[in-house]
Amino acid sequence: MPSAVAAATDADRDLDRLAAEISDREEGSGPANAEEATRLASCRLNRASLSGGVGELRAAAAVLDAQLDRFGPWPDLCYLRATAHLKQHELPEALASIAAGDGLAGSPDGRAVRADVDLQLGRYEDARSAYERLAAETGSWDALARLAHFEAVLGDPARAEQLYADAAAAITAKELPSYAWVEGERSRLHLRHGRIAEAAACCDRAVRAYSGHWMVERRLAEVRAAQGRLEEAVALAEKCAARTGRPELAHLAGDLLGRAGADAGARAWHERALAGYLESVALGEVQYLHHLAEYFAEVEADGEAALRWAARDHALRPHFATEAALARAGELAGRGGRDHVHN
Amino acid sequence: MADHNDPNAVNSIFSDIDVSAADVYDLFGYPSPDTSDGERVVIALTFASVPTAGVFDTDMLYRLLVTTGARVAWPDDDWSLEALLGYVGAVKDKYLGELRPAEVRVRAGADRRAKVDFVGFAGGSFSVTVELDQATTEKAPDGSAIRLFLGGRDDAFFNDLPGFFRSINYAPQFYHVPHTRPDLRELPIPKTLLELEGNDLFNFDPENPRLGRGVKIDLPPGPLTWEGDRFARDADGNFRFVYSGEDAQAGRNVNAIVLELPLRFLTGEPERHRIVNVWGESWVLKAAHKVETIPDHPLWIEHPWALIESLRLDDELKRYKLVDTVGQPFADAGLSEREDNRQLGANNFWLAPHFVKRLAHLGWGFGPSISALGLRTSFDHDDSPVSVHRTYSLAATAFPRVRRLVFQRLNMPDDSWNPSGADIPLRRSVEIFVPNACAIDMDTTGTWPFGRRLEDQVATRFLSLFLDMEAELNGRPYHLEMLNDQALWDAAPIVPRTPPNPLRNDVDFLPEFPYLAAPHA
Repeated sequence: MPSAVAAATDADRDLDRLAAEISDREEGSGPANAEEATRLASCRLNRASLSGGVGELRAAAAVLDAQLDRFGPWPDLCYLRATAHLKQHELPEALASIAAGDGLAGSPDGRAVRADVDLQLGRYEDARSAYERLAAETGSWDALARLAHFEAVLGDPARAEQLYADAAAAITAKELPSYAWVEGERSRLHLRHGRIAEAAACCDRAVRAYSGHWMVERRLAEVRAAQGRLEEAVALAEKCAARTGRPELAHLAGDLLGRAGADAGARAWHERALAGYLESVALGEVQYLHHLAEYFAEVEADGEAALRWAARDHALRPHFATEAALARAGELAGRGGRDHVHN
Repeated sequence: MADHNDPNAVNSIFSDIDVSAADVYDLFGYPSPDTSDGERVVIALTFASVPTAGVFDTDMLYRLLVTTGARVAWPDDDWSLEALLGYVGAVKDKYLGELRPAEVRVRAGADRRAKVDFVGFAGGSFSVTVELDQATTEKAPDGSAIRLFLGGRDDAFFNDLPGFFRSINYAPQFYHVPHTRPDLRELPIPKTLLELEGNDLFNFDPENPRLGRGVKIDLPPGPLTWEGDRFARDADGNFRFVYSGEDAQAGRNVNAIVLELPLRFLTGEPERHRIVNVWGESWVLKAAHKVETIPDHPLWIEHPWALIESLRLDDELKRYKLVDTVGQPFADAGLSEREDNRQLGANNFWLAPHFVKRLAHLGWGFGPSISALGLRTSFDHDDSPVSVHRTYSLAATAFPRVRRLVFQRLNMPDDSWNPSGADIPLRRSVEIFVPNACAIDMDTTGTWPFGRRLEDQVATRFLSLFLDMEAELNGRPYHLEMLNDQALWDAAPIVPRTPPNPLRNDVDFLPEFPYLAAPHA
């Protein structure tokens, strides 16, 4: 529900606006047609993304399922459902959603989701060529950002930076949350390559463009940590974790507190992270498997447990990062990581 | 930390983006009726009234680009594809070569004032800040009095837009069409002016008479095509018109930039430069530059009489992204299919082959419709008894069909358009749409296609391009206003018996500046 006081940040303002629209659209018998249902589901999904709330994402997915039951496989609803599946690492389900929408698989949006799935499944060349084609065909900022992400993790980091810069330049003043997101990604890229000042500049631009976005504040926490400003980093991470309830942010807060030597505080945040991860798994979700692998490897130094979670994740998403996590866990467990990749 | 922040966290098509203030609607231009202080030209750019009529979006920048030149008469004797391409090439060289258009640049602030730069005019460059919704007169460096109005107005476009969309089977006007399926917008059904027998998707439905006029339903499943072979006729043998003559824009508002400029301010050679070419553009601020400008927006550092350095202006433009353009009516909606990557303003030369293919595609729809009404068409459709859905991949293949359409001179109904009696050749389609500019002939009244007056029914005149201008009706040559003649429709085997579009605006235009009517409450 909208808050009674003036929104403190841009994100707060948009969260209030989306909450009001959702409330309006859910009034009475709800959407009258597939187009209205799409709008409602889109508001739900956007709000979940902006708030970072894992529960909100689950609720948005449930709304999407209900609207699909009601209006059938309307392509826009299928597309939104596919994106929600992707956020939850449900790759076969994402593909099934794309396939369900008549004509969706061949559309730029459907092809983008397919390429995202290909990347997650380790089909790198398929993903790359799809991203390249989409960027060439549409020139849209999100296609450029997708290609930049690919280059950042698997290709040429210099090209990734240029593509992120191109994506940022293509975004207008009407899309400031997207701009903040892209700057956050650029920050991550710079940080990965040790360019701390550049990473900080990206975060600064992101915050000035759109304040209160948890994804940006999380990046800023990482930058502050890299700058040695641990106290600020911890404060940011704790604020993000508390506000969103996301376990991986609790994990980050715990890590940063651990680095600061605040072991008790670190333990408390880590316990919250673990509880969140396990709650997700208990609900049948898979999006936190890789975090669990990482948690047991790095926080608990429990190689066997890390290996179990890493193997489950790798079985679903056999790509470079899960492979690395599996190898690391295997090594920790004293088994030799590479053997387990191919078990 | 691994994370969930892949690019798929970004939702490309349903994010709450609203750039509709960038949707430029119409460009009007004609010689002013007020010649008390020498010749003047009226230019009006209209665009979506977002956030509201009389309030401009502060992230937008609007440009009106102006060139002047002598009237050029292109030879009549060569109707070949080579001649067409030669013409386009010559215009391209001119626009991309030596031509440096002057411009009027507008951006508004949050305090309901707007900064207006006049750059590169013969009468000088200068800058003013004006109140929105207030007509004002400003003095240029050469002493010229320039009238300005920026604010909310009645939408001067009067048109049966749903009828046009019915004619091209444009589904989003009638149905909920998924955003993810742009291929379902213009359905593969013959374009037509007369309803097609069995075209249930788009024929008028008496059970749902407002469908497409504010009412939309879900796009039905099944083949979205048409398999018939004739036009629909009622029990009396009448065709059914896809148009209704109803004004779909009645009661709507726009935001507008209206200028009245002395010709001598535009050109140092007003006696020779009788043509004023104008086109409009909308630009939206890039996000990166919004961030940069938050602390100190240069717009509000006022220098009302300062000369503008073009270098600084070019730097300013780099901070914006071109979104929409307008020059000729239907150049975008009818011929460019409103694709974003075809928003090129006057520089639409590379679209010439596309125009040829698109005109041929439209011609296969409209040409047989015109023939069925007993009229002669400029499109060669091999005497097809019914509209045909045909597309072309090569302009060379399409060109023979549209040769007459693009090269024929477009007759005017009488001589009132040319009060000066000057030797002015009638215009041709190719000259109208390439470049995509409103070319105002100062020796005419400025009625379309010699400019565009507010009272011109341009949608119906656009349809008249498909008439054979060498034919005669009741002893008179066909002309651009023929389809606006009620008598023609009274005698035609068609219902409803009405010109396609309304003959006049829903409210009267004003006799004095700013000419466009006040906005509706």
